[in-house]
Amino acid sequence: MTLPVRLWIRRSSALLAFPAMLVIVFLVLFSRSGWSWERSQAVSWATACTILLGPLAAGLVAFDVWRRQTSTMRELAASTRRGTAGIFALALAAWLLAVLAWLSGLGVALAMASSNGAAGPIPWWTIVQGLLVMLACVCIGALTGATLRSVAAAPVAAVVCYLLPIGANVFGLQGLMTAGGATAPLIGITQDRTIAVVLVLAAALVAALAWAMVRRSTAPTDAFVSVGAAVLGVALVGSLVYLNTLSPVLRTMQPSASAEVCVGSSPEVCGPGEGAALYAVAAEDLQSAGQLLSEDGVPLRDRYDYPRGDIMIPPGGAGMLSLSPSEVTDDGHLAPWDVALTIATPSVCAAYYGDTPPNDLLDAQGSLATWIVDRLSGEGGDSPADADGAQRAMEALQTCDGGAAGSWTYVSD
Amino acid sequence: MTGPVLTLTGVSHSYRGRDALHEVSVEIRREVTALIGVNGAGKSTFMNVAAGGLSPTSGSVLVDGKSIYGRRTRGQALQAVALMPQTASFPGNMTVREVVEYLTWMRGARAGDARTRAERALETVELADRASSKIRELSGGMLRRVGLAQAVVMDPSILLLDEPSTGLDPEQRRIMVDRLRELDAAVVLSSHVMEDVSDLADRVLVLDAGTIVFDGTLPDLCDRAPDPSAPRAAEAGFLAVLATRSGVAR
Repeated sequence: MTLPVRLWIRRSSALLAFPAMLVIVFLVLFSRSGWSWERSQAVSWATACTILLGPLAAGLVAFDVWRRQTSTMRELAASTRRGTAGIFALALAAWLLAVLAWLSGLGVALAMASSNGAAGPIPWWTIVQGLLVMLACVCIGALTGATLRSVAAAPVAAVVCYLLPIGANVFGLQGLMTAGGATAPLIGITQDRTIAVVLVLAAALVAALAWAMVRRSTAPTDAFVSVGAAVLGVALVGSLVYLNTLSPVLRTMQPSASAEVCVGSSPEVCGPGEGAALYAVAAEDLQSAGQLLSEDGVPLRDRYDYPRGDIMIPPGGAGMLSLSPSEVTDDGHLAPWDVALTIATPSVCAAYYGDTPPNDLLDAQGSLATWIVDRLSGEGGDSPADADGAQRAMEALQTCDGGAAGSWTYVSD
Repeated sequence: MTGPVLTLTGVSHSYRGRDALHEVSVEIRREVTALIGVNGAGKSTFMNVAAGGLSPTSGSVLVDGKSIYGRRTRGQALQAVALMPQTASFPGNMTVREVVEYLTWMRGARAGDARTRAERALETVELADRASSKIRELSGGMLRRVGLAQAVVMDPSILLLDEPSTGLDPEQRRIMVDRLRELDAAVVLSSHVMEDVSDLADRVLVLDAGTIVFDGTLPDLCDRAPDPSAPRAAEAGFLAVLATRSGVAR
């Protein structure tokens, strides 16, 4: 297979489009910041480009199958031993180039994550999903090119690949034919394994089914291929139905099983291991803030925790760490608002979960956070009256900590 | 003479309800067999069905005794047969060497072997000096020779040539005829050009409306002409066969 793949890499439209693929990869990658503090999100965000690369590769393959598979080549494809494998080689060449472009972005993302000291495992499922989604797209491109046999095959294939995941959402099949794309931190959360396996399987089945149909449309086939295509179709429908019937709870991100790490001592910042790089930044900033605020009589807690899962109740006495990785400054500091919110948010406050909003507490929290931001930036809040107000707000918020639970609790909806 | 290399038994093929081939049964041996007929007689369908590229509606096609449409035997059968299609449209941005090498691989050669075989085939059709030329730079005649090169590249047992001399100038036609004479394979030559038939054919099949209406030697065909000794007796004999439509005339 290496000979035709090498040949098609040299002579396919995908090679001409390779610079455009790289542009897409890096435009998408750098359209957002904050992902480089954590390996999972770095991989996930670097994989977001596949939602554009897949349709592009599909269109290119459809164009090439139409343009390069001339009438003579079609006759020969039908009557030679490896005829249809030659068409697959063409699709594979485009897939390899698209994967190469994607991996370039992924490599840069991981290098940037390493330079930030990002921790956590590499989410291999996301990478496998990316590979299979793009493989499915090039197979759809080959099928479109082989059946439409006109220049329209290219846009049709691209649009089909682009719309498939959108259409899937409509039918409750979120995640089908997509890979990665997390726009928020993935610290403490992970995709449910069952969902991941079904999505990978579904993408593989789309690829295999499209390929079986290419075989049927380009060469004489026996009942074995027809039955095989039917079996693949049934398996695909079955996997989609199964995906649709899975609990909505499973379809949301699940708490990860990573070990907890703690960074710093005064205060100590703890959370799921994959966020260690950010905890180091937070610990340093909170320590600086603590030194400044203690002069005003606003003490920090001994420990702040980053939640694991959606809704968390930190251990007794610990505060909730607020993090916006995208707001971390180039020189490695949390956004002042995150520092302020971390300090001003009560650990556990039953009133926050009641039917009516605790306006007095929310006002106190807001004014305290605003005061902290001003104080840290040196733009005011340093009068004794302001400090007194901050102390009172802090005390009011701390009185609401009484219901702190003894351990982490994941609350599903 | 050895046994049949290609055997069609009761082969029919329909396009949209019309029989392009109807109950064709014929054995092809290691000789040059010319397949002649008017446009639409079913020659290209015959070639594609025999080459394994078009499933017959009914009947069987055996190459060296192996069914070319059987799941287990198809690979081996396809290895023994090669088609030179009527058209010679190859990807214009590829070089001649790349096209022949690629098609050699498609015919079953290992990657390491494909380059050597392709080079040899290009020498056979006198295109070695154009191996690095892009396909789009070639004349129509050269393209036909690329088509021949990819067909002979795996030394097939049977070679199916669909209108091989169409568009060739006399010099290129000479090269084509010389190469075909040198081949050690059963050759089925579909042609409109009676000169090709006269120069090459040991046996002539006349196809009309999907049915073989004549199966014999060239002298047999000439005998059907009003004047068998006339310069264009073969053509006249062919027309006479069509006029009588008398079925297999052997």
